Amino acid sequence: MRERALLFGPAKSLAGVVTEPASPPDPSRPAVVFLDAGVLHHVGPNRVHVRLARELAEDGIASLRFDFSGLGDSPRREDAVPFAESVVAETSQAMDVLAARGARSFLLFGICSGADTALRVALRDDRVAGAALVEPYLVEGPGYLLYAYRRKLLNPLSWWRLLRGRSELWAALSSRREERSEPPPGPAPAEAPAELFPPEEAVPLILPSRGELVRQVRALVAKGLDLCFVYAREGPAYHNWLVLLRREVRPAIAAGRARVEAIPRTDHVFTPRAAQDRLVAAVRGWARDVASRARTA
Amino acid sequence: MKPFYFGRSSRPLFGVQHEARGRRLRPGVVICPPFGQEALRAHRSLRELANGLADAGVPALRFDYAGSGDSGGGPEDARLESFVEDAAAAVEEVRESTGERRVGLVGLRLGAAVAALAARRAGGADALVLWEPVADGGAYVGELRAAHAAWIRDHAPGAATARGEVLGFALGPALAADLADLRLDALEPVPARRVLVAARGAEASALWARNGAVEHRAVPSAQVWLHAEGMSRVLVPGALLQGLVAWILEASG
Repeated sequence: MRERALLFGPAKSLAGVVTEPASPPDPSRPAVVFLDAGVLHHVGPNRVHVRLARELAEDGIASLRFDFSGLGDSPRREDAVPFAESVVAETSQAMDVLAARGARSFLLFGICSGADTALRVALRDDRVAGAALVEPYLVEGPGYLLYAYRRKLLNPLSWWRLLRGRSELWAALSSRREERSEPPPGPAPAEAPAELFPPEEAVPLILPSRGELVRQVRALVAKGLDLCFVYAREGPAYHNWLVLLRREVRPAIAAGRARVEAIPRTDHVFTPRAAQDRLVAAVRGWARDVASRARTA
Repeated sequence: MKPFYFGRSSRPLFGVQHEARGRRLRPGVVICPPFGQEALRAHRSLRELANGLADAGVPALRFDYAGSGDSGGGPEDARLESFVEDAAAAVEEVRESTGERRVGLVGLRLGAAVAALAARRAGGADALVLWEPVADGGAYVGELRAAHAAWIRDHAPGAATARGEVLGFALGPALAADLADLRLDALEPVPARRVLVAARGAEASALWARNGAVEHRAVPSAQVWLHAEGMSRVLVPGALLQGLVAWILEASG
């Protein structure tokens, strides 16, 4: 396994790390691009991007993890291109880097907002052969609360926090309310003075509407892409899978082009290390299968 | 910002160089990150600190310890001694790139303890900033375990988590034992010409309280290393960072 740090993009401003197998990768194997999750930098939540990149390299698969402009180790853009647009262009530039090193097709990996970016890039760049969509988020309808209540998925304390507006779910709902508008400075924790939050430091999470998400996934299935959905089984994103996406993806699952993994007893960012193990194993196995199919094709 | 790998090939360390804008005015500075989840959460603030230093004519180097971030190795490589060794390698890297022996170190949380120990190993630093230092490693491990238990209870109820993990990262018995022995106030003499302890609370301001070379400054409790705001928002305490940059400029002048 070899790793190289680099700057790329038209302004040579995007910072990333390429991870490659020790021997030159087979160009018929797709390479993987990791996309930033929320405001976390390119190592990913709990460093899972790094771990997965290194395990993929053991399977002969190259990858690039990098930061979108303004996040992690990449400076802000000088132009006024909206974040929702720039992330799509910058992901294509990341694919260009791997293409120059021999790759011909690509798999995208994204957690949370990274999954949303992956969906949008996969629909626009024909070099994308597949996507691992981990905990893709959108606004919750009242259906989830009913579902969670019936299945006793939330403990009493998290209900209390939900009511107090402090849960992750509430964060998702708040982001939705801010969608396509300037995010307000936001509620600061009680102990921190408000001036610690310059508004430009809030990265807009542009979450798709329910209709948009369904249309995007339907289009990916129609395009014949390989898909891997991974969820926290008790969370609201998995509820979206059950009520919105499962029926769209069913034909692809039957055709062996899609799979879904619901990991029990974990949070949205896979804090328990046992959940990280399962996430990494699921995506690694999927990528390996896609790569071996690409090889025989 | 220029990302690169440095150090031995058997132990590649990931660094980001922030070159001084315009003429270099002061010796370079190494920034030592916190441990585990805290390092992820504080990443943006340390980047802005490095940018602030570079804008003021001070070259700055951020880096990841082996077994963390983009550096080589896995969690099994994480030991307090190896963190210090890596910080010392970063000091040598800065000395080489600036062509100057004088060097400054800034550390946040556990990174502050690492910075102090690395300063001693490097034969003393010019300026040393300890931002909310972990002064008592045993108490710190207790805090991490309590925060982990609370997080799991609230966000992943029923999850089986091993004792060897805290907030998404491994904390093996060897590292826990290293930390249990860590008492920053036992580190004498103070390993820098000038030292700033920037912290809230009485414990940190008591660190090296009787040493005339050590300044103590009460700072707002920005707590940039906490899980507080989910994934869509990040804390950057601008005024606090400006204060640290100004102190480094003055102290290394």
